[in-house]
Amino acid sequence: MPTLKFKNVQKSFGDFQALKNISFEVKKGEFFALLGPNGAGKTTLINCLNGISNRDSGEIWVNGKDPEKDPVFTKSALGIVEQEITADPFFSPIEILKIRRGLFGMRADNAYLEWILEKLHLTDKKNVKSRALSGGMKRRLMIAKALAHDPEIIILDEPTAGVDIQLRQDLYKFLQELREKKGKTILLTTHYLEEAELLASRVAIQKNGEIVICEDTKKLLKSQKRILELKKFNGETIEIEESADGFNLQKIVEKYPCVKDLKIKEPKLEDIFLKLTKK
Amino acid sequence: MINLIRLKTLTWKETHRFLKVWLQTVMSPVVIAIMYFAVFGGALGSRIPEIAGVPYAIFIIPGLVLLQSTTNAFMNPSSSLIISKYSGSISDLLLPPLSTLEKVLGFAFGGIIRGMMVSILIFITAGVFTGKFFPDHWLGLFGMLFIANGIFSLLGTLVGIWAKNFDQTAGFSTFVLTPMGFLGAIFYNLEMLPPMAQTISKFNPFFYLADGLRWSFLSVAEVAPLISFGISGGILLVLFILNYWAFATGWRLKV
Repeated sequence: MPTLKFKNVQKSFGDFQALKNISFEVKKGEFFALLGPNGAGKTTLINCLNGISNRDSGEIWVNGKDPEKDPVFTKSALGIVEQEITADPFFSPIEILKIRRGLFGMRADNAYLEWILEKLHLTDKKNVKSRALSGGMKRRLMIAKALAHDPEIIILDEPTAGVDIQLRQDLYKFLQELREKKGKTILLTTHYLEEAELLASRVAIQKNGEIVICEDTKKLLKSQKRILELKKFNGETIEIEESADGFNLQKIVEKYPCVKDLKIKEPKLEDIFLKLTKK
Repeated sequence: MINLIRLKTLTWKETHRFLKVWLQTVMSPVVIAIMYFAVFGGALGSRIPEIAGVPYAIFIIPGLVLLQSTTNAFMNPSSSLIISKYSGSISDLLLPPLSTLEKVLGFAFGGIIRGMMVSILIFITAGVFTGKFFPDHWLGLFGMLFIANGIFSLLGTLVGIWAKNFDQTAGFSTFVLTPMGFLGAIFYNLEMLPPMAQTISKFNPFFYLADGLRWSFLSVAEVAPLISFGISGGILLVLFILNYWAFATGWRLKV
């Protein structure tokens, strides 16, 4: 049984169809990336999953249960990091985490909450009013909040926007640790495609409310051709696409004898993304 | 279905939010009540004859308590919800697995606790001014305070869910609640009004709350306590059902 399953999910806002027959599955313990340009409908899909929106038709399953019919069960399994930064201005980070845990029906576990705060570099800010936190800190607090009840499935909607490079790297490590050591299932939406390439074992690309591809990340990258980039002495650059037999270097050197430098460009998720989402 | 940890947490959150700004939320209504006692009880009270055999300064105590406490019971959930909508933290209410009943009760209890605290402080303050500290009917007093603050807390929750901005909650308070409170016979007896105004006043729910509380505090009432308690309890039940419906359907909360 897949941990998350979407089948022909449709959602419209008036005349605008935000989701068109979305279907894909996420397996237990998988790191799955959902990519797409702004307005592709990724957040709408997450809202249908977490009960903030009701879908018009189709099926959604969280561990075999429908979020609209069994919201207490499905919400308990989900830890959602929302895209929009929000923080209750009245409370400090540690209070916010305790409240979040309590609202999920779980008793306080200070050791666990301290561990999350430490992992997200918020320990020294745990008693500060949340309105005094910087944008990056608030973003990390959002992640901490989503993890406060130790959910089985973690949904991250653009979690690293506004987070500096060092902290982003630490977050990647933390997410990998959560998946590998704690067996969490992770669904990530991101604009940083290198993030998806590095972390996700499978990716789906969503465009205009539709899934245009859903594939194993390695397989997807392998299916793309490599590019040989030649730089001539006059500064001109020539790109040659790999054929089915690879690169015939003898022929290439015969054709372009005066080459200053050459390098092979491996296919990147970014190229595939741009190709698929181009208007 | 109720999970006590979830309900306790939501109530704690809604209570601590106002306690963190206690000067504004708890002390401010007490200061306003002191002003009323100073003006109506002290300066003007001695020139106003007794009403139903009770000195005017004492007669107005239940009404003043009610006016201040219900305003606060209303504001607690309404401001909490509208601030959450503005700051985007409304998802803190929507993402956890809170049942409908837990949401209704959590917000209601937050408002009731605030209203009760304000009520008790104003009763004590009034006692200092008038010497009347203790009610004639303890159970009736706490029962009516619970019902009245419950009504306005549930109403505040509904308005908080309905409102799209601060203006709408403030507008409801200014144009609906304040006139309803002042015209609910808190400063006067219905007998002092012309017959037509007396009839209209009997359609004002605030009249029954004030009358029930006055009976509990002073044993003075214009309608039988059973009627004032019955009508008030009925209103509480209707608002409870409306709250339940609003949270169950996600009215104005879900996208």
